[in-house]
Amino acid sequence: MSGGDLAALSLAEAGRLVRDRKLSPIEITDACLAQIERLEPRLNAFITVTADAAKQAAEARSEQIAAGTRSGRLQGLPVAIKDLFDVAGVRMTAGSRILAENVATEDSEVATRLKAAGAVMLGKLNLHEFAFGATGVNPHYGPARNPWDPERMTGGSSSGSGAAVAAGECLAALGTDTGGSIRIPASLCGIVGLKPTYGRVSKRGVLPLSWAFDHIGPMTRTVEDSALLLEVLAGLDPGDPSCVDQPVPDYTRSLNGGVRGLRIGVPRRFFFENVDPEVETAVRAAIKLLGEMGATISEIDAPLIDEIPGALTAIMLPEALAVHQRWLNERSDDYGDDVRYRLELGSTYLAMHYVQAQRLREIVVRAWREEVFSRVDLIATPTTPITARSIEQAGASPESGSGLQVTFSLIRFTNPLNLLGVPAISVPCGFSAEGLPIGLQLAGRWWNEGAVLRAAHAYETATDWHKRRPPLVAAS
Amino acid sequence: MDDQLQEARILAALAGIRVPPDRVGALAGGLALTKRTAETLAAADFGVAEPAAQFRAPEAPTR
Repeated sequence: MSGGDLAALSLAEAGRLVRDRKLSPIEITDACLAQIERLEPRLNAFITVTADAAKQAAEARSEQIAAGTRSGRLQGLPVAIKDLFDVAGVRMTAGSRILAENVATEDSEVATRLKAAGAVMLGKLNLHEFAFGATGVNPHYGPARNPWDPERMTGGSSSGSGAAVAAGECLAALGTDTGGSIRIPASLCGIVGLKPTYGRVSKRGVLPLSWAFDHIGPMTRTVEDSALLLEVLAGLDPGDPSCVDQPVPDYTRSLNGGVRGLRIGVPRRFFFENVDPEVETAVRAAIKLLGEMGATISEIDAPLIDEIPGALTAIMLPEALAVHQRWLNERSDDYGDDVRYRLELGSTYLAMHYVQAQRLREIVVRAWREEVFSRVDLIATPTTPITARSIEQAGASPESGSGLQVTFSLIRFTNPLNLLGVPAISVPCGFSAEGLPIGLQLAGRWWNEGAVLRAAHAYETATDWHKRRPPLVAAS
Repeated sequence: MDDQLQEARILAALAGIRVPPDRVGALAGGLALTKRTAETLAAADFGVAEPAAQFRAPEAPTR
């Protein structure tokens, strides 16, 4: 296989080849590093590439394998993580000027788990500044560019994760998702992105944006890879008060269960309003296919959906301001215009709004539990109502109409699920006439990532959208 | 508009952040969104999440 072919392997495929000693960690790591060297001038997906450390780790993993030592399920597999996670000895910028020289002294919990599973860390990925935005346009490090068209945004905030995985610069990546930041770039870059249930994965060592809604999850080229990574990441961490002690099922083993017997609800309104016609056509076709494969499709109401955006805003903006208050006063000019504006806007919400929003959240969760997830196992919607817009349009000034409109559009269908805390995945389900990816969002009951992954895997197996490669990458 | 500017200045000060004069106008512009959100929240039926839900206020005395 050529270097480009190696870098196009899924995490699971590469893992099988490594275990069978048909592929060495050094070969696959070198292939990803070569892809990074070739494509980074166009994509800007990485903020920091730790090539030397990756090569050393790959050599160590190769020696372990030669000695017959197994170190874990990701043994020798190169991955990268959003630059919001601490990795000891590596700078953690959060995509900001403020933390440009910050070097982590300890591993985040998820970095610890990746290393324990044998993964090779390639570096830290670009993001929207402080993960506080949905476009991925970063004024300090430049925008990550979409491999399907480098003049277009990747979506954010896990912008570099979306670009790097789609381009084969790494086999898989981690992202964070406070309002859609895993699923949005997954959708716009044509990959799989999974936001697990709130509390499923530890957030210790990851800079918060809004602790009520922050989630960590995998971004991969296949659903199987997301299942594999979730098994590595999930589980109680006493060091994170929001992390819940729930059993972690064997997600990969139950992937092939198919969709027969699964009940999938399609919201009557909101989730199909103001959607690009090409997006709606692709998503409705995907839902129809799931029905033909044996799922029971029915229309559902989405309770209190019009109240959700207000509750999200009244919680997220004050929490973000609380995180940033000191830096905002001391180094205001070091923030990008859009993030600073959103943070300042947090000051206009009163304690009463925050309390009311938390109470409303309780009512919303109850309503969805009783009226939606008691009747269906999953809901299906578009991940985003639009495909990737131009970087120029996405990066317009914060007060301008077009920049705000793009941001609001991007988060509209993903952020209600952050308020609910349910697991949700984006899986490729088509392409626009311009060749831009479209994502199908499937969300399930709390702690039931298994059903989400099973349905997404069944859909993926029946289609070939995930096998397409961006022209930029295919040219290698 | 002067009232909105003043409102934005007061809210920012109460929240403990310093907003330079050249950005107060933009912040005041965002107050419309905050007020819409506040109206939505105030109008919501909190049902069982209402802390005083189980307490029924006595009828107001008639005069």
